[in-house]
Amino acid sequence: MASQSNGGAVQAAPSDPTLNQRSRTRALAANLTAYSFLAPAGILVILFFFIPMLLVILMSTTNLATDNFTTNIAEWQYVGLRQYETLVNDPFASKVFFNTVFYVLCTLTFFNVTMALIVSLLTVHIPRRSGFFFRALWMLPRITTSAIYIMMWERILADVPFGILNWFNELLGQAPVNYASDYTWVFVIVVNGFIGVSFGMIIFTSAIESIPKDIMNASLVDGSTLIQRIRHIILPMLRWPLLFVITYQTLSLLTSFEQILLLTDGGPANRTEVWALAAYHRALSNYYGNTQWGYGAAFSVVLVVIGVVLAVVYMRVFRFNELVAEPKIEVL
Amino acid sequence: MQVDIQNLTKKFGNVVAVDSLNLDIKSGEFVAFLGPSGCGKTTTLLMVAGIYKPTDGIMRFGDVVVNQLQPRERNIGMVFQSYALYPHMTAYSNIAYPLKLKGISKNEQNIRVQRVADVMGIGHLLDRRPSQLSGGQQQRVALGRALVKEPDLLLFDEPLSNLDARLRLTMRGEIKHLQRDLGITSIYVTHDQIEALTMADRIAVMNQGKLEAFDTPEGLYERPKTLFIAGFVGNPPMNFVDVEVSQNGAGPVATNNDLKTHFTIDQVEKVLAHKGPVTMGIRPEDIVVDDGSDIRGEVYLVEPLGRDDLIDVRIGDTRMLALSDPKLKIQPGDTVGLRFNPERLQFYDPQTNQSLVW
Amino acid sequence: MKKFSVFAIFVLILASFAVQAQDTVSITIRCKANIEGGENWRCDNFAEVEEEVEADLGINLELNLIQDNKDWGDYKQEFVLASEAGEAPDIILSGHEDIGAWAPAGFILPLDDMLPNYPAFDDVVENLWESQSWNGQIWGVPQDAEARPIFYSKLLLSDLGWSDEEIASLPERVASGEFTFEDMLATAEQAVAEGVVEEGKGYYHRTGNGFDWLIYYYGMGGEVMNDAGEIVFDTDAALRTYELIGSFVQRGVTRPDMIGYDGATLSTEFSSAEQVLFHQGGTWNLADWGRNYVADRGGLDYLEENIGFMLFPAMSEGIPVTLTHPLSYMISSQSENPDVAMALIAAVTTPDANNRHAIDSFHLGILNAQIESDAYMNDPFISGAHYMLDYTTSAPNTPAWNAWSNAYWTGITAVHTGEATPQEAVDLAVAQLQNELPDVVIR
Repeated sequence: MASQSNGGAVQAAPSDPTLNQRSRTRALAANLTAYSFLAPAGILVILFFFIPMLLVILMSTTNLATDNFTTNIAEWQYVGLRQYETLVNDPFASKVFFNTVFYVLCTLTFFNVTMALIVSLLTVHIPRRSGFFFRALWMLPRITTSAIYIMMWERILADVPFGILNWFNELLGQAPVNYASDYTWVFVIVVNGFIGVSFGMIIFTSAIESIPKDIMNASLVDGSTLIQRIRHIILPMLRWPLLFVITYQTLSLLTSFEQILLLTDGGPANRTEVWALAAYHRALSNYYGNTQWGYGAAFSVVLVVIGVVLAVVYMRVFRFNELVAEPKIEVL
Repeated sequence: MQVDIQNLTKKFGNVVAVDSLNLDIKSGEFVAFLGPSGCGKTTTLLMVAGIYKPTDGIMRFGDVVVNQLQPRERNIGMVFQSYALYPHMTAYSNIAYPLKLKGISKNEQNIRVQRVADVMGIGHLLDRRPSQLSGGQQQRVALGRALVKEPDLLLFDEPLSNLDARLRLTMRGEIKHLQRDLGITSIYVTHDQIEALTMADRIAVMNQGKLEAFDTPEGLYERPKTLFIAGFVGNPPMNFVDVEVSQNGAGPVATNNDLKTHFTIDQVEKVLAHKGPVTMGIRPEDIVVDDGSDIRGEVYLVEPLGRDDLIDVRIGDTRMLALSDPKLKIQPGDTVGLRFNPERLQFYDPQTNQSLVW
Repeated sequence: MKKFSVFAIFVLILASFAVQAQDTVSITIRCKANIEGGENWRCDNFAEVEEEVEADLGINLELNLIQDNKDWGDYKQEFVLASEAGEAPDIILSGHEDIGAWAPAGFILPLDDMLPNYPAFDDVVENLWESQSWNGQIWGVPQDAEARPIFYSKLLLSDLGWSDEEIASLPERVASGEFTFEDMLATAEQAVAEGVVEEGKGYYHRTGNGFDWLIYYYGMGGEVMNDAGEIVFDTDAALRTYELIGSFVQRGVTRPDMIGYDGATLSTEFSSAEQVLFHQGGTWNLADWGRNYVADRGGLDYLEENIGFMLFPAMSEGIPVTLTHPLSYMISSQSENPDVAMALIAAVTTPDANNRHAIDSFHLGILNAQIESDAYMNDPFISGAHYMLDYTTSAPNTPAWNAWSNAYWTGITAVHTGEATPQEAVDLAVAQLQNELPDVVIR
């Protein structure tokens, strides 16, 4: 935009210098207004995203650890790409990588998409008030403070005589089950999945409700059952919301770790250690006395790169920017 | 197929949307539901379609009580105001969808879709998506989708409202023609009385959830049984004047402070038998500009309608719409004389809003 | 006139600063303590000795005691960041292993020059000083110690047919090397075979990563840091260690889900003395069990009657062993009055002061004289465990400890779950170690 208006001004120059002057001033004024509206958000993004990201990238090229810790960048000991070399050869890192893939795929598939779809489809097919009530219930995990939410799960899963599930087992005369350690993945995924459902649920519900009533009625008159209507009419019309939820949630699951930190802290035996948590453990949690900031930063940078690559792929392959450009859901 | 509706009632919470409706639609008949928005006509249609379940009453298709049947069990076709085409399917798939759901073979689907498309004149548009079609084309596809499964009953929900005036006129003719050719019993919901009057065999006029009248277009126009119908049917609308009726030497006469007119309708006695004031109705087209008349008033407004001018005349406190010949070149401010056709006057009881005549 | 009054006020202000600076020394002390667990004396002891130190040094002390029980990771992070920001407390209490990172980082001061001035330090148990050193210098003063023993159920041993004398003499037989780790496992195996305990309840070990696992490696003759200060991984010792750890589940004495097992359940099961035969724990467990698990059966009295504890019996090296993880008082390099800080530390390194902490929180004393004090003697658990300090070891102080222990733990989990053979577990640990610590010496 800016270059185009400048080009126009240059062409006008030989004939009328004052016009040139005036239009340039006007273009500048218009740009200034635009920039001044962008400035607050821009400053926030630069201050709290770009600068920290550059620092983290820089830090990943050092061997910064507690024993040589300093905030003076000039005193950091730069080691080039050695941290990344270590990372690539780290058997632990590859284990964490597969853990992460498993965790993101399962949570996304079973909860953030499927469960969210099921909840929204069910709640739009029952009376409005009840639908609202059940959706509000599914919002609870999202709005509950992580620490409290996890504490509740810990009480649910704990062994006798503390655990609620095992209390029922005992009532039914079943042997107690060591849920937290025997079914760690199941519960890590369930606990995170319950939080993740609400996002897709809101998007899907509003998308379903914005499908014109006439189309919904037409399909029934045309002879479809409720199930056929979901398969043939509703789901195809949810393509964009589905894509949006998948992309957004993949990225947010990749970077989320606080629930796992609180529930299992990556254990037992690192079975549930995911990438973001590994970065945290390396860089920030120093039970054993020496934290490896540089190595942890390398972990984080990998996450940033994966995020950027995925975002670009989504935009290219699924033409994500079309979705952003115009709200497809509403103009159906 | 014959449709019989008895005491049909639909309540949404405390709101009564449809109140004890009784209708008997003959096989092959084209019935219009006419009324202002919110009168319950669409709710009734959706109950017939099976989308809404009635709160009370009975609906029969032929001999079968259909109250509890799902839409797909009723063999009906429906056309919507918004066309309601499936945006992710081509025109072909839209039309074929009801057949696909019935489990009809691909071959048979193809034959039937082609046949319907030819009838609707959209054979060349079948591989387009709805977003690539004009409003009229979409409406034809929607009609094709409703017809393709050879329904026993066709339902129309204001199907022409979204079209422009010219296209509306064309489609009106086509739908009427098609319905008559195929002989499918049809219900047509509209708030446009021209559509109802021109297309329907019979019109059910609804107001506030209740059936006001169920009659032929001619009957509704000529013999409006209630004040509501008299005012609702006909454009420009009927004039109403509060008068006293009496018998004098020259015969029955209606008078108020501003005017006095004789009337010579068939059932004069019924009108004269009524005690107290009555509401007299007269259609604009039944008023003639006649400078010899005793009823004189000042022209307040002139609206040229093309063939006629619609003039708004003030006779004392009474306002009167009348049609005049544009050649008379009547101007606002002119004083004109009006003569009412004494055979075309309507009389209503202002207490009950019922006609004193019909 | 006006000029003079401004001058006078200026002088007065200066003077008041001077008076304060001369007389009052402000010392900030930061402790992590489970106050409900009786650990408040870690900081509160300084308040007790405040007047004494003021009198000795002829100064006015202003003590800021900051004490809470936040997570170790956050607590240590706080000190690192405070040091970098120039706001470090004068005295910090932390795990001795932090010396390995904080000394090279320059956050804390070496104490060698000051220690000889205070005779109080001469009485500290000799073994504990080793854990306070890095690079040939002393950087901390032990604040407490504990023993990580193996508990045993007297009830179940008696069910197994052991006589009271046999049960009572077990700790001594372990200490002498007569009763070995293999004997212990065989006993557990026998208990399972005879139905005295359920399968998997013969021996409960630690449920997560931690210092305790080092005991096995030490017991097998391994070392983490050699005399030259190099980081070492002894593959022979590690192989024997992994063979031993892998055998727990295979022999049916340990439950397969022991790693990650719920702590509260473990405490419930063991503290009753009716379900689990042997359990690797820490002396501080007793306070918790007595208060929270068997209070209705008589609390500590019940535990004293039915549960005993012993050193880790001899493994391949032939000598019993245990490990302590002393907490240390360290002095920040930013302290303006390190000698006052040192005097304060010396004043709390006395039997009286340390007994307050040790007895209330079930930690072992750090002074030889403590064992003779009445208060200490009257506590059967603590006095009964004090001998363990003679056998104790500790983790080395080195920045590499984090990487080393993670690699070692990788091998443990691999062999415990049966994912790897002991030899494969060694290879796994070596690969991880070499990747992260290129200078490691593999033996």
